[in-house]
Amino acid sequence: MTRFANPKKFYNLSQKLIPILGITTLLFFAIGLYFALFHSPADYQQGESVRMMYIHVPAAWFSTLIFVFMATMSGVAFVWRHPLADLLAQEAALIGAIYTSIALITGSLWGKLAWGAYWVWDARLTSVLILLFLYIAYLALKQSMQDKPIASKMLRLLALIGLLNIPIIKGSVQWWTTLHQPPSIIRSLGISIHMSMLIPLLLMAAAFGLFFLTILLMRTQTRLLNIKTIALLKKQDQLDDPSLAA
Amino acid sequence: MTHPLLLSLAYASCFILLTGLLFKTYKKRREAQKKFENVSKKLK
Amino acid sequence: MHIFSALLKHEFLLLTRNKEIFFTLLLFFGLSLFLFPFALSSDATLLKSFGPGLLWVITIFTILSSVESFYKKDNDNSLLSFYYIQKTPFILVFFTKIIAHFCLMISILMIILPLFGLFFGLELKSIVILSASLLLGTPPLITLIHFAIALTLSTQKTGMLVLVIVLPFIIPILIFGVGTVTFYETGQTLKQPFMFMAAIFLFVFAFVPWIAAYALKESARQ
Repeated sequence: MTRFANPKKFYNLSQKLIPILGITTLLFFAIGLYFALFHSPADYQQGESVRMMYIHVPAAWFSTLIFVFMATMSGVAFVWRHPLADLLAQEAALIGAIYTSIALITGSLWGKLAWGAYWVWDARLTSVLILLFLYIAYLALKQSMQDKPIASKMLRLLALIGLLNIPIIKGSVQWWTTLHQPPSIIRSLGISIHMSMLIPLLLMAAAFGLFFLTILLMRTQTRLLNIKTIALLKKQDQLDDPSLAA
Repeated sequence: MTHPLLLSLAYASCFILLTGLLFKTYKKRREAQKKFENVSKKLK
Repeated sequence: MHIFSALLKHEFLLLTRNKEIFFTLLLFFGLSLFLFPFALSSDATLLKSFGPGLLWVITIFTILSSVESFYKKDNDNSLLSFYYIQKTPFILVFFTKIIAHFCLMISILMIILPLFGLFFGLELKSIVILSASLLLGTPPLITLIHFAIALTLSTQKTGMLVLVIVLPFIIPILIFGVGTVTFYETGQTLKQPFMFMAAIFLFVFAFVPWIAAYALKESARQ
């Protein structure tokens, strides 16, 4: 791991990886979509609407996973003071927010099919909504701090505390919905799911994961480039103005 | 609304968001690369 | 300990010197509660079931609207930078602010609660349970809100940002806080929601003050 922690090495490595990752992502999306839309059976209970699962569930999985990733990277940055970990955490946030929005939109459309209403205060959907607020909080803080050196310190803290908060949110929302007992039709995905549905689901999950990695590397590269450009501009100023160099 | 309409709406919104993100990221990276090249050229 | 009492004295001096805050908040709290029967309905059973939730939400907004006053003076006098130079432990600074804010909120709630019970038709027992849940819920609530403002202190505009940051963190407290009264009204045992609230209380105080103190220190360093 530490080999790639050097920003320059990371930049060169990701330069090579991005095209490969991009093509694999496209491949996985193509095969996954073919399976999800044409080559998988309709559910015996939900009929064709079960196809909503193949985008909703991967997006929902990754919405939590990306936050865990952000918090892990923040922890790494906090302990070992590594700037690259900060960049990875910060650039993952927008992707996480987009995935969470996808999970919410598809979940709400699925809800229309299953419950007949676009929004029901179901435990799963509600905790995804609160997770979206968590992402928005992170992005708002990032936005308001601009690129001050203190920004990454504060963002680390928010990501770490946010991670601790996720199980509390899940638990409390679960408790709250059993208090009012709405119907729950998006059933929990146990091991009992049939192979013919599991294959497209896993393919789509892999595609979502690869897409996340591709975008993350691209965004982190952009940040590294911007940092380099600023450093160069500073150097130029010093050359123009000798009094600053001394 | 019917199943196919809602399903296609879900898939469409999903992929519009994803391609939007990809496009924005690509554009930003392109701009950063151009700016970096310009600045490093000037320095030489 | 000497530093702690000095800091505490400072916070309370600020509060007593600025009585406006207290009366503004009291008025805000009372008037917003007063509006709801007109907005919803004067139906006694409806008021009874909505009341505790409204009280909790308005408590949150009152804390949010008053939190900035605890930092504005310090920022103007660059007192935090002074603490930083003096190597004052920031955990003490943070705790004194929380204690002062808690006392402010409790004094407001003590005036509001009897009136609230009267106008929303809650029995004495419900009011007692509501007060207990508030007593257990407001300290972590205030801690989280002060944590949010400690994060944003280095930016100029804090108001909306604090609300956005703190929202996902206070939802569990709100759920269990209102849940206690709902449990009582439906005749269930109160042990469960109060256990959850106590767990949240301990959890918040185990982590958040230290992190918030670190954030305060880092913003003071600037």
